[in-house]
Amino acid sequence: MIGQDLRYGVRMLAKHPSFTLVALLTLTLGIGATTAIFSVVNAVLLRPLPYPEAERLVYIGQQFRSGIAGSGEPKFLFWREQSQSFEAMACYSNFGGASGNLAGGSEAEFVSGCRVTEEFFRVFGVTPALGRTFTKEEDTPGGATVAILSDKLWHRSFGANKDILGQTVLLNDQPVTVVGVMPAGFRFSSNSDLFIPMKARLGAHSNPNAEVVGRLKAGVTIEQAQAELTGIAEKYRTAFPQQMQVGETIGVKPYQEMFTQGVARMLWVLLGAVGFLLLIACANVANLQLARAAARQREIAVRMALGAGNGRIVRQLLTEGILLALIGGVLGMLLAVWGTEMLVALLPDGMLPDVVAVGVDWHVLLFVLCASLATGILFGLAPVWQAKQVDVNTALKENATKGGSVRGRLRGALVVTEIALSLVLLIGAGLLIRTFSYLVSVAPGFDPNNVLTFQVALRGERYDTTQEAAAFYRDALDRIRVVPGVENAAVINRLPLDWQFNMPVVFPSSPDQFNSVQFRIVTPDYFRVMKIPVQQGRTFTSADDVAAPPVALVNEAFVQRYFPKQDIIAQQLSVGGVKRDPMRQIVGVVGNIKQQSLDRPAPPMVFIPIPQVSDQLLATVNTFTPGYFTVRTTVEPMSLLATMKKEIAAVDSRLALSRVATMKDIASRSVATQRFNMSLLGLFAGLGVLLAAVGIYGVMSYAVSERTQEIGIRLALGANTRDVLRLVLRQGMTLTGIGVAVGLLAAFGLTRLMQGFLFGVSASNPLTFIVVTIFLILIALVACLVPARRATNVDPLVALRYE
Amino acid sequence: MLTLRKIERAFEFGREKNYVLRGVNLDIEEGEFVTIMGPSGAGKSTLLHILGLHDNAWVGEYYFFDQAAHKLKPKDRAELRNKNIGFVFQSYHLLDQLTVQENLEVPLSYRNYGRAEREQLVRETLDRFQLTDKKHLYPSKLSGGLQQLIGVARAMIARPKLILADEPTGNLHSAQAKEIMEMFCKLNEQGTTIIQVTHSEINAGYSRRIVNIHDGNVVGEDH
Ligand SMILES: Nc1ncnc2c1ncn2[C@@H]1O[C@H](COP(=O)(O)OP(=O)(O)OP(=O)(O)O)[C@@H](O)[C@H]1O
Ligand SMILES: [Mg+2]
Repeated sequence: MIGQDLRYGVRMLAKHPSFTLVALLTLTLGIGATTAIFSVVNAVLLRPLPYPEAERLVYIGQQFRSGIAGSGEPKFLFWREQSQSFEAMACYSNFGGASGNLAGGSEAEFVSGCRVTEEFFRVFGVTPALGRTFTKEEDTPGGATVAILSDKLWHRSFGANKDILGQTVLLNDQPVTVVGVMPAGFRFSSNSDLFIPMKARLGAHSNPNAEVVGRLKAGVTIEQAQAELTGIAEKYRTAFPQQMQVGETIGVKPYQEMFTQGVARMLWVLLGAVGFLLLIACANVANLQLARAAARQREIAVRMALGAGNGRIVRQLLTEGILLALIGGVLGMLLAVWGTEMLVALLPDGMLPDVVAVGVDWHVLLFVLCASLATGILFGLAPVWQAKQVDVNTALKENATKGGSVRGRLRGALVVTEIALSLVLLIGAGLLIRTFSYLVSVAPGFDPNNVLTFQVALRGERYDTTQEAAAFYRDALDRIRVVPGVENAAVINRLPLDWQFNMPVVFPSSPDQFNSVQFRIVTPDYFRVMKIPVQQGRTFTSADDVAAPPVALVNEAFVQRYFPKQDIIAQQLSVGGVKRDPMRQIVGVVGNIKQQSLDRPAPPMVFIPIPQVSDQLLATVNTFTPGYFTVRTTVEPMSLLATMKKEIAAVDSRLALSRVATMKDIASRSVATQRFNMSLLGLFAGLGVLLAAVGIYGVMSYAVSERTQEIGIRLALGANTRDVLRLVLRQGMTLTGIGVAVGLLAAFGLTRLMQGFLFGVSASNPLTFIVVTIFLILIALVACLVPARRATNVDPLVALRYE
Repeated sequence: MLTLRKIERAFEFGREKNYVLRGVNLDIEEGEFVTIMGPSGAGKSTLLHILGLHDNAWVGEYYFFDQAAHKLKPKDRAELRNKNIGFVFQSYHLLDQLTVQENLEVPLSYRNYGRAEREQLVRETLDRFQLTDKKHLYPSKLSGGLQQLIGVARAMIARPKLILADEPTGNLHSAQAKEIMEMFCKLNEQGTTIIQVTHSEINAGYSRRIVNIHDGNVVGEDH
């Protein structure tokens, strides 16, 4: 019996290829796309971090009214000592010399390291794969210099050699003993190649460049920990009043939030979008089944008249529904696996925290599968509950017009829903497309074409003084400039469109007032390499050396902010106060350069020639942002990379190049998030519209076949082709119109949630709303046109024959 | 009024051609009331559709007054039809989702009538057929006789010179059929030419001429 049902089911699907195709397409897209995006969202937002009892991990930081921030090492020592709520508490920082040039492996290379306190690994609940973690002694000032390697570095530079334990490597020329290797599975918020002990000192100045993470004792809640830490904050204020700002306290929050706060909002929007897509897909499946139900009304009535019981017919329909669903499910699964990989590959760097690994989430897949299957089966059974209402005789004689119109209204409502949902998706996508195109049209203030950039970290004793560093840069630039294909070259400590580096600046008129501005140290040719225009005065020359009068350059935003009315060339400034840096004459003004991103205004900026930077200031700068070479080329920039390596090695063979990129890549990377958002929502909107078009096409095709007789009558009464076309289109366009109206209302409400991702366009931008609406109406029109044209071919002779 | 010469109509089944009408000749004068009779499958409906200019797939000559319909393009045929011909169907073919009044308006909406003119014609017709009190009802709520009365009213409303009726009383019982036939007589007296197809001798009795069709040919006429 089942075999017979199955055979019959296959035959039915094969006999209606367009229904089968559309149903499978809908199921595949619905299941595949929904699962893929949900897997990503789930991995980032919902799944616990991959540590044992991860829910007990908390982030602890300086709490200000504006939010929670990193903390300082000395503060951490105090917190750890005073608190009882934590099983373990650790501090880590990417700054302060853990990164740099590593020698002792296969070749000199740049490694990014992390300074961590002794309990760091206990907090995360990991033990090394080889060797041990740090001891208390190693984590105190003056303790032994030791390191733990990441599995990746161990494989990359040491060939996974087990004898590495106890060996010495050179990190920035300092001998360091390897005491452990982390397991391969250990991932952590910053992508660290190696770990060294922090050696924090209580009472030292507390630079807020470290992060603190704690593991709550079993049974202790976040609220309890928060209450305790709030008390500790006040104790610290009493002990070190000068290190606590007004209104500062200590904040605690789940560690997971650290990873999600940047992406959460967008992921929720995408999740909403994918929910919409799933709804559209389900509506479509329902629609298809209803259409088929209508077509099969007669067949089922005949079967019932021949004595088939309800159960028998339900089984037949179920077999068909499940068969379809299974095929669609398998195809959807394949799409989900492939789509998840695609999505992860598409994710911009840094959008997805390194700690999470994304794979297809089988729970999600199962859920989506069930949702679409249930829809399909539920609506697939429509002919049965309809057959119960309509008595067999009338169904046999005539098509059941009464049931038909109820069904017609249901189908209409489904199409209205689909149109409305896809309009919301389309408008969302439209706004992101406008944002993106506006963004890439913003002038960055420099010419990113044909510029190669790479970082060379000058660390260790050989580069302790400014003059040593300046000499290295001079020698290296002299060599690079004569390489064929190189037009000019320069060095700067932070590239445009690549985050920021602030320093306080003071003016002679108010020497105690610190103004935080973007701070850059450069070699003279930087402005020529980047083609940054000089607006007033001059740029630096090689004559601006340590012996010459101290000078500085500023940008237009700086002038606007601090000296909008005065003659800027007459002004002076000092970086960090006169105790650390002399008063400098401002000798020129350059154009604004976008620093954080294209959608933010260019910040005020100060430039100083490298030879005039004090040793102390240079050390600070180098800790946070080692110098970048910028090389303007007349050839493809990347083609010169090997030559660059050779020239740097010729000056100092122990230095490694890192962060190699063209300026163009950096500019493109700066809009990667927007591009990703746009592509993804665009993809959803496209799929949504496609499904909605299929939906409206299906409904109209069915409506036309249902109205064949009416059309015949109208033709007989004098209607011409155009009248018939209008009749069908009016029906389709009425549905579309209602859907569009509902969709527009919903979009006005929902796009507001996207405000934060938009730039240069408001969330209710009329042009976008209008263009997108027209676009959708045109699509719907095309979808209606096919069945409408078919309607004009109705032959009144045939339509009226069956009297 | 109508002149048919050597009208042929065939339906194709695959490669086979099945002739339904073979060389029909027929003349009908203005003001006549004609009944077409014949056994089932004889081609009566087919002939009526040709007369009604719905069908375009026939050969032969068909003069409508002095116009050669066989030479007209489909568009001009449609215009000729809309100007001159009204139809009554066996199963009424009223539009269920429209009210009586709206049903009457349908033919007018496909012809060039202004809004005011349309409303007036509908009002007059409702009055004439004594349907005014039913104008807001839906056809399915009415008896078969009333429905067909609306069918006739609808056929009349655009003031055609010719009414074609294919078994107009086939679904009605005799009392209702009588009413429809009397309405036809009335319309005929007022100058409308009427051609009906029927199997009923009684109905045929209302007309003044009977055309018999057998096997695709006019085989005899009774006056
Ligand atoms: N659209 C069509 N396609 C194929 N054959 C047709 C078509 N219309 C009519 N026929 C055939 O033409 C023949 C005549 O049909 P027609 O409907 O004109 O007969 P009729 O005289 O009206 O019969 P009845 O009294 O049963 O209504 C029949 O054999 C019918 O099968
Ligand atoms: Mg007939």
